[in-house]
Amino acid sequence: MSTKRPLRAKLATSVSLGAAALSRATGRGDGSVIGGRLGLMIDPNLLANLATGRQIALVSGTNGKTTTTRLTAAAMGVLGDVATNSLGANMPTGHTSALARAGSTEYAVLEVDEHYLPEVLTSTQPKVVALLNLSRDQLDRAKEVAMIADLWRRTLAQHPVHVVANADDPMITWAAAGATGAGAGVTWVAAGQRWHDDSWVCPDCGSHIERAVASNGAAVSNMPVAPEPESAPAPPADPPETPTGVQVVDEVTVVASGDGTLDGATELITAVPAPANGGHPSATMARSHADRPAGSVDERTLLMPTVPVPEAAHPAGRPLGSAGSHPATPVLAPIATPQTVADTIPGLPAVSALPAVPTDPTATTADGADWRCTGCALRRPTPQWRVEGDAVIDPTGRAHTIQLQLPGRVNRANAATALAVAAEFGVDPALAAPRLAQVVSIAGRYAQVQRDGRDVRLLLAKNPAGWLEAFDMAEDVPTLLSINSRDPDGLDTSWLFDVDFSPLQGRRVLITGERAYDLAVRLDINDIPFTHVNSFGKALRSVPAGRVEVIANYTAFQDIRAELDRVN
Amino acid sequence: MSTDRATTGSSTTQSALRIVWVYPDLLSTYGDRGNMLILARRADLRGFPVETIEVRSDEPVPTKADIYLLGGGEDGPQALAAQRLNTDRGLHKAVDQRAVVLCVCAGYQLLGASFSAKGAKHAGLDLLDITSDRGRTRAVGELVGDIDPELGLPTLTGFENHDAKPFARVTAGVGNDGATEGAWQGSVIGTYSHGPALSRNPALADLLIAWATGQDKLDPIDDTWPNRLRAERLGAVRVTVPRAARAPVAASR
Repeated sequence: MSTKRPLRAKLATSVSLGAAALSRATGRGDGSVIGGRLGLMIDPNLLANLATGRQIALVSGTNGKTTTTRLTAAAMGVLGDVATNSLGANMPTGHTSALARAGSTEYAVLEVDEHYLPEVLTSTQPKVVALLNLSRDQLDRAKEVAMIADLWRRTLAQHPVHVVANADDPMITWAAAGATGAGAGVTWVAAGQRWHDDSWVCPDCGSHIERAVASNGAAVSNMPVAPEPESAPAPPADPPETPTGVQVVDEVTVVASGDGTLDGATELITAVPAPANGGHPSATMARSHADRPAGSVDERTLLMPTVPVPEAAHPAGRPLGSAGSHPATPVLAPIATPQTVADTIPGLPAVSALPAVPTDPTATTADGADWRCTGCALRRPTPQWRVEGDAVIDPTGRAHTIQLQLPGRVNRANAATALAVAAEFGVDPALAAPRLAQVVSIAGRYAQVQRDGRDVRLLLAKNPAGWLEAFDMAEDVPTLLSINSRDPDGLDTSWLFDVDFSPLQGRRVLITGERAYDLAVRLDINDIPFTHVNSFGKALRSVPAGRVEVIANYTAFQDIRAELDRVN
Repeated sequence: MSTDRATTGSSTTQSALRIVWVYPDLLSTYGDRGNMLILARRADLRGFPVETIEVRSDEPVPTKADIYLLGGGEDGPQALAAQRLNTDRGLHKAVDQRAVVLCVCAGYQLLGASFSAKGAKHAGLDLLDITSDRGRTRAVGELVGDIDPELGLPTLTGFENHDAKPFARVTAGVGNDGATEGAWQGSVIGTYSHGPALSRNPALADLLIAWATGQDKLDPIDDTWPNRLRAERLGAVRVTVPRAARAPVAASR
C-alpha cells in the first residue's frame, strides 16, 4: 500500500516520523503534532496520501471522543492492526502523525476535533464517521452548538460516508440526517444525553423540543402517540394528533408506568400546569436543570387520566440488517423545511405515523428518553443499538455483555457506538465485545493511582455535559475538584453555573486550581461545604487514606496527571 | 435532591420575592442560570421568601414579578426572543410598574430600540434607550468598569463575549464601545458582563434585591468567596484605558 504513495509523500512521511522521534527523544512532546506539522509542510496532501487505501473511521463530538476512539480501535482489532491517534491529537497534524507512524495498517480510527471534521472527511474519505454529542464547550472561542451541527449537516451531504449517530441528541440527529448519496446511511445508537440545555430549540425550525423524563431522572417514555395507522405514513405536515380523550393542556404528554419502565401496565399521562400543591409529581418534562429551585411555577405536575394505551402496535423493531443501517435519502441544500423533514430524514418516522411507544424497548432505558420537535417532524429516530444494564444490544437483538473497566453509563454508550462502528467494517460484536474490557484508561482519564495511601481516580470533565457525566461516575468518597482557565480550557468560567453540583452534597469536597475561587462562589451558592487547598499534594494529605475522586478540567487534569508521573 | 435552591417561599406566599428568568430556552448560554441562583440565595440568606420562575418562550411572561433576568444567546434565538417578547408585552408591563430587570449580553441588546442579529437589524423591546450594532471585531475577555457613582457600587468585573447609555465606564475590555459599558435606566440594568455577572458583583445583586424589596439596606452576609474572586479577577486584568482618557460617566436616566 505504502509503495503506491508519491515520492513527496514518502519523503514527508519520513521527515514526519523523524521529527516525531526527535520530539520524543528531546522530551519536548509526544511527537503526535510536530511530526504531522512538518510532514504537511512538505506535502500538503500528506494526510490524504496516507489515508489512501485504508479503511477509516472518524469519531467526533463534544465529549467522549478520545475514549470512543480507543474503544473503537479495540473493537476493530478483531480485523488486525489499527492505526489510531490515541494520544488525543485530534487535528490534521495529529492524524497525519498517527497514520505516518502506523505504517501500512489497513484500518484506522481517528478522533477528530468538531471544527475539523469537514476538512478531515475530505482528506481521509472515511468509510464511517461516528457522531457522539454536541454541547457548549469553550464558548469564548468555539463555534456555537447550532453552527457546528449545521456545518456537519452540510458536510455530510457531500460525502458518501456511513454515519453512526446518537439518536438521543437532537443536534446530532439533525446533523447526521444530512448523510446522503450512494453508500451513505445512518446507524442510530441510543447513546444517551444527560445534558439537555443546548438542544431545547429545534435546529431545523426553531420550535421547542420536548422530552419525556420522569421526576426521578429516569427516562420514561416517548411522546404522546397516536395509535399507529395500519397504512403507510400520511403526509407529515401536521403535528401529531392528541389521542382521543386525553387532555393535553401543556402540549406535554408522556407515557409511563410508576417505576419508570414501560411494560404492560403503562398508563398514558397528560401533563397539565400544576394546580397549587396538587397533582402527582410522578413525572415531569425535563425542561431545565435539576437544580431549579422548588416552587417554580413552571414545574409541571402530571395528572393521570386512565386512558388506555393503544395496544402494542409498534412493528417489532425495524428491519435490522447487517448493521441496521438505513438508506439515506437526499435531504440537503436547501436544508429541509419543517414540512419535509420527516420525509427525508432517514430513520425518522413521519410524525403522523409514530410507532406506538409502549413496546419500543429502547424507551425503557435511561438512554432512551424520547424527544421530538413540537413544530416540525424532527424527532428521535428508533435506535438500532442500545445499552441495557451492562449489555450492548445489537440490531438483531443480541445482547453483548461488556465487562468495561471504564466507569459510568456514558462509557457503556461509547462502547455501543464502538461496536456499531466496527460492525460497519464487518466485525462481529460478539468477537469485539471482550476486547473492550482491555481498555483501562486513556491518557490518564479514569486512571487509578496509589499515592501516599490514597487510591486516586482521575476523571476529566471539560464542560457542563462532561461534569454531569463525571458526577454519574464518581463514587461517594472525598472529591477534589480543580479548575483552570488556560487556553485549552477556555478563558471563561461562566459555565460553572450551568453545572448543578448538588450530587456532591454530603461528600468531603476540596477545591484547587487557578480558578478555584470561581468554583468556591459556585459551591457557596449551591450550599455545598468545601475546603480550598493550594495544591494537589495538600489535597491528598487532607483526606484520610482510601479512595479519592479527582474531577478536573483539561489543563488542571494535566497538572495533576503530571504530579502522578504522567499516568496513562 | 438538589440543594441548589434558595427557595423558602411557596407560590402562595404573597410577600415572596418573585424572580423571573425570561426565556431560558432561548437566552441561556454562559451560565446565565447563575444570576437567578445567586439572587435567590442572597435574598434567602436575608430571610426573604423567594420564588423563582422560569418562563419558556412559548409561555406568557408574568407581569407581577419583582425581578426579571434575561441572559445571553445566539443570534437566531435572540431575534426570536425579541419578537416573542414584543408580542407578549408582559415584560413591558412589568417594567412600566418599575419591576427590576437585569439583562446581560444578547438579553441586554434586545432590550434596546434595535439590535443586529444574523446580519439584519431587528426591533428591540425599546425598554432601554440604546441601539446596538455589530462591532468590527468580537470583544472577548475580562471586562472591568467603574459603575455610575450614583449607584454606589464597587468596580464591575466580568467576562464579555459579544460583537450601546452606559452603566459603567470601561477600564479594561471593550464594553459598549471601549469607553462605556452596559446601561442603566430606571430599574433596568444591562451589561455585557455575561453569564453569572452577579457572581463577581455581589453588591449589584444586593442592589437589585434592595430595589425589588424596597429595603434601603440589606443585612450583611458572608462574602468571603465572592470578594476573593473579585480581588483575583481585578488583579488579573491590566487596566487598559488611562484614567485621564476615560469617557465621562453617563448620567442615569
